[in-house]
Amino acid sequence: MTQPLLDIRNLSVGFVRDGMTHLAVQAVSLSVGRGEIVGLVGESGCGKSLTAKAVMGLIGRKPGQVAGGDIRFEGRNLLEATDREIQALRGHRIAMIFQDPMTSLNPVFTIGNQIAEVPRIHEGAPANEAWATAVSALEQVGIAEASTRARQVPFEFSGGMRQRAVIAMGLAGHPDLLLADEPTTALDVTVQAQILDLLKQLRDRTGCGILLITHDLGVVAETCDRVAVMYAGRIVEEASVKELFARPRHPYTDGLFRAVPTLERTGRLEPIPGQPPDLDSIPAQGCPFRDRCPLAESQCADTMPPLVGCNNHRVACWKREVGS
Amino acid sequence: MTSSPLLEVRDLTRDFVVRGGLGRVAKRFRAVDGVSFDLHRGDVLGIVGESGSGKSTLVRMITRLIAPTRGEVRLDGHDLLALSGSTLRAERRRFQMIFQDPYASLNPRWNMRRILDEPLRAHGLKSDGAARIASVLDQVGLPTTFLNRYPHELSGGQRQRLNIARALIPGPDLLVADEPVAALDVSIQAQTLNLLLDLQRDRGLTLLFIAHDLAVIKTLCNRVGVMSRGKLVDLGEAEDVFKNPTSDYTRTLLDAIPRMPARADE
Repeated sequence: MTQPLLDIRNLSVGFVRDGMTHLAVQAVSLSVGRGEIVGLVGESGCGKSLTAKAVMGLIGRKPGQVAGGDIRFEGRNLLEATDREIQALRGHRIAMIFQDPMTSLNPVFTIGNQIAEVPRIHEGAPANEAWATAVSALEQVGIAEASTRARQVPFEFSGGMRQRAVIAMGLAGHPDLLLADEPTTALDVTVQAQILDLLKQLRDRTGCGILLITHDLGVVAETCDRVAVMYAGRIVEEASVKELFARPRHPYTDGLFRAVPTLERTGRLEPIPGQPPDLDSIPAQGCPFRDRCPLAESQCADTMPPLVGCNNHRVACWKREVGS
Repeated sequence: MTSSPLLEVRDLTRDFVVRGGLGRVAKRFRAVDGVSFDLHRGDVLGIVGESGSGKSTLVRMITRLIAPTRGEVRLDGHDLLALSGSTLRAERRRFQMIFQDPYASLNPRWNMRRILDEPLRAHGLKSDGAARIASVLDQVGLPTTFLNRYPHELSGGQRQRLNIARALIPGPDLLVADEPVAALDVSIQAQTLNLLLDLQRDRGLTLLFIAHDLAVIKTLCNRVGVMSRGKLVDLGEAEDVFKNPTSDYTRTLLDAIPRMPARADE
């Protein structure tokens, strides 16, 4: 079997508070292959962004820290790499797109300058070549009159264009792995559709792997090949997109699907009772979803169920094992 | 014919002036352009549109938070725009608003009791205050034991329930909600939408509801208006607008929504 581009194994990320370590990401294993778009879904605070930040080496020593596990990029453990090695990969081989395009752009530099920084730093490209790369990256993300637009500063761009500029910055290093953290959440649906198309084209053209973090199940259905569902720091279900939407097994996934309003439904929704646990109140043992789960029984309080099943579908639930 | 509408909006328009250097008027920008509609008692009208389409400006004019450039707003036949001072304050009791950010719209230094007490004080309803507070808390599903809690001690969903309770407490005829569920997670969003549906059904509440999410509008509203560049480009019964949109813009908007495939077990 070929090795995946990104292979996260048993990753835990913790926060130390009052001398106690609270795990916000617990034993997460997830892989992204070349040419694959993998969705990571969950509600706010479930640890999905933290997982991506750990891959980028953005979790410092305090207050958050990686408490265990491996993050392998092309077989190399990023957690053992030096700062210099990480710096060489970050922005170049591994790029990240953040949710808010306004805070990830510097307001006082031109868009072109900020994108050109990527080839200048990572490839040592001379200024004119770096500028040409920046303009072509802007063209790739569908910005008209890119050479003129590159001379503008962020406030002269609309929200959708800024997000495209941030994506262009990600593309400028020709990354093998792109981590996109809620790249369309702040955008209108028509712009969202364009950006998602752009990510798919990028994958088709360059064969890069993409980890797409989102809370929007519709976005996952339209964009991803495979999807992992996170709850309270753990992956509770993982499957191909087709399989997950056809046969959601975990009661949380099932609940999410029923709770989300769609154009096909009218009238009352079926909410999941209660609310997701805070970092402080994630139970130390057992399934973190059990208090909101209609199927929970005593076994669920004692031991966290392992993520098991076949290659196409794995679920962490004592009551809803794959094939049962 | 049916009874007269609770809310009549006619040709409502708002221009913003963009200033150039030295305070010169550089250009005028029409945020809302000649919007007219009626809202009948018990109706839930959803206004949908992309960012910058003018939907928030529209409801801010209707709730007298900003002044229109021209147009009319009538609540139960009374000209809302002609009111000022104490008469406006008195009339405000009849239309209340829920805002998008459930945290920013609550005073962090006030506990729940004080937050709910304030509208009663403002509208001179203190005499039966305790009963009113108990009643709205029951309606929105917050326990009275929470009354001493501060906003930071509440979850996102509970904060939005508190916002809804605060809007309901003076007994308004019209509730205006600007993206009340946009900041909430899916499981909490569903709880809040169900609460609004129940309130509408049980109290016959009239609701003007703003959202960018068409699926949310579909869940809650029986009438829909679609805004684009300050104009109301579609208006009608929700079923009709979703099935047979009259404007190309509405069709584009509907086509752009990512769809979830059907489940195998349903």
